[in-house]
Amino acid sequence: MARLSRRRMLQGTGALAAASAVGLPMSRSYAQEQTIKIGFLGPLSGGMEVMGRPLLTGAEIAVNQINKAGGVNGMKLELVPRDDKGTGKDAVTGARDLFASGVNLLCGNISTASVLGVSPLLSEANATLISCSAVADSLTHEDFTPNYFRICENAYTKYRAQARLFAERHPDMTNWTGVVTDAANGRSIWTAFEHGLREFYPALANKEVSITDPVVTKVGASDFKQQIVRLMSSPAQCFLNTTNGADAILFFSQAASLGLDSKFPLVTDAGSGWGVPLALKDKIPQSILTGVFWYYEAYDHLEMGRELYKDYVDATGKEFPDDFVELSHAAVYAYANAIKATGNTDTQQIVKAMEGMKFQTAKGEREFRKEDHQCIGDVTFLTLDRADNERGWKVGEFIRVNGRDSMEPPSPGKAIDFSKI
Amino acid sequence: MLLEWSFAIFSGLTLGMAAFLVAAGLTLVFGILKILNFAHGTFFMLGAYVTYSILGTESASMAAFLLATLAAGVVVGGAGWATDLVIFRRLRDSDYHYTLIATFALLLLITGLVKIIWGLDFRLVRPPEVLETTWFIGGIFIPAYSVFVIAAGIVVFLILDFGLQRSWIGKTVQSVARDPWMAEVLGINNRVVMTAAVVVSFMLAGIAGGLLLPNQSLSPALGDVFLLLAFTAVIIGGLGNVRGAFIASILLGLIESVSTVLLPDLPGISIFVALIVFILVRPQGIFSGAQ
Repeated sequence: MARLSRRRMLQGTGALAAASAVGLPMSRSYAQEQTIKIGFLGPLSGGMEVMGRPLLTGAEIAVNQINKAGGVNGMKLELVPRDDKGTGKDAVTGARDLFASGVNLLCGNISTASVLGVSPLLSEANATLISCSAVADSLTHEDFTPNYFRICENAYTKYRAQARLFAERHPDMTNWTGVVTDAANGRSIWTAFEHGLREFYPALANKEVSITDPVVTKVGASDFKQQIVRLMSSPAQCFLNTTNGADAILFFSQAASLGLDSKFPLVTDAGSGWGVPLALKDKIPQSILTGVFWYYEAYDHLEMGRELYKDYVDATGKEFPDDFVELSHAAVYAYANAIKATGNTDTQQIVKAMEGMKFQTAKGEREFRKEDHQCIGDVTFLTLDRADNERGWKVGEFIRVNGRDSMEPPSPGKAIDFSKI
Repeated sequence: MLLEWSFAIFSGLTLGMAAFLVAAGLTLVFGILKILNFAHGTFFMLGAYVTYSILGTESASMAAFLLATLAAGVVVGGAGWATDLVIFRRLRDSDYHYTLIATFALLLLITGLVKIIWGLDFRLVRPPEVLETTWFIGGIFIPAYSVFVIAAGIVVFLILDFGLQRSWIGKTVQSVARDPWMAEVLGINNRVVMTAAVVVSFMLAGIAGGLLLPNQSLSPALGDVFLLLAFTAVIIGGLGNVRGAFIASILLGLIESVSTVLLPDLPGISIFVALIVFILVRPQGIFSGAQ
């Protein structure tokens, strides 16, 4: 084996340092004085970075807004970001690093996997976590832990509400199927949506619904043509798509070239932000009803909504804020409200303060349900229609549903029993 | 059912050829320099971005598309030359672990640069209009672009195979790969041959990026999509063997595609099962030894 010289070692170290500076997230210090630290755990590298960066931006905007207004109880907030790459393994590493740095208030987390990794550590570390867009029902049911809170609606609430919309608006669309990703969130979304269809079509449209087994796809696929051909040969009139990000773009673009539009003039989608329609342009389906966590124009009557949009555009120069921006923004405000109420950052007092807490966000009032820490707020949807303009589509309609009306009863520690629904 | 199987086989061939386009450069550089290039997928992604920068997102003519792809190959080949000069050449006599670490660092560096230059946003590039057609023949869908990918894979294989087996350049390269000391004694400039092999390997990655771009959503994570499949093809085919990689790519494409029909609820698992089975049954790969 060749000898490793000091020169070579220094060269290697320099190269790695340069790589780290360019490609890896670094922790930032926002202030030198004593601050209240809020840990941020989200995907800042890898395939989910495209969703993690807006999430970080939303948290940064909230911290800046609160600090500009004088901080919380006279103290400034400081955001301490760590990269979880959207995986449970890296989330655990990032969380342990935050705990070791004395950070006990955490927010972020896009993926269910990363929450499942961190949630069991919270009690032992005497820390709390507000996850942003992990929707799997289990997190506030069978996998519930007392120091965990969720700022977005769960799959049950969101996708049953989506099924209800179809029963109300398209009563003749009684043949359904789905494109379901082989992951916890994909399965969870489909289960909730399917049960919603089975409940609401007979109840509201007075019709039985027929459901063909969904087409299951892997996450990060390089081709969807076989799945698309299966969809085209199914008897379904409409389908729910749960692929997101790059997968959703590839799926819909290949679907357009295979003529899926002619069979499905209207489709529905679990939602994955503006990146998908902006990339697809006129390859977007003719009409798509998609779930969004936040649509800025619909909340521009609220001062917080306007401020968030303005600060986002100032910070990024982008016209369309990803809906994840609002989730992390709301999570930071939730902590600020709880700290204000308790006068300190003691974990147990913060947990108690947040249970049942109502607070204002850029999307209106939210509340953490006392029993299972599930957030209650608006559940929102958009329709996007293909259009003959430069973008290739336009926003059709914004639909707001009261989340409280679509929620399941709380049962922390127990799975939702869909057989009783 | 017959139609579903027919389409599965056609899709498998398309996927296999796409995997081979990525695997070709990977196996070539391993066969000659014994370098397992972790950064290969990143250079494939770089080729896609270069092609996008030339073409934009709208449909271009077939000639413009092929020229842009070739330009991407030249740019990425240039990056390969620089990589050889700065990294590979210096580590040629070192333990292979150092090369692995160096290519991993290179992966981070190039990914970081791509994010700085092009950002994180997704992009979708349309194929040339002539490739946007889909034929409906005998009850199955035949996208023109899939036919193009299959043809491109076969052409690249034939050029590589002929180049390595039949031409004096290929024979020179093989002699350097098998016995560099003897090659040097016979007056062959090993350094030039090895640099040329690295440049060709990187060029293949760049060309693959350009050719496959219209069938993918472009983002800095693009390299990950094909890299696993390409690595698996290289391992099953026999490390460093172009013919092995070609056959393994077709097999893997067919396995992945047929499993979508047989095991529709377990997508993606068949590739890993195939890899385990091949490693247990034929650990040296379909063709052992560099070609």
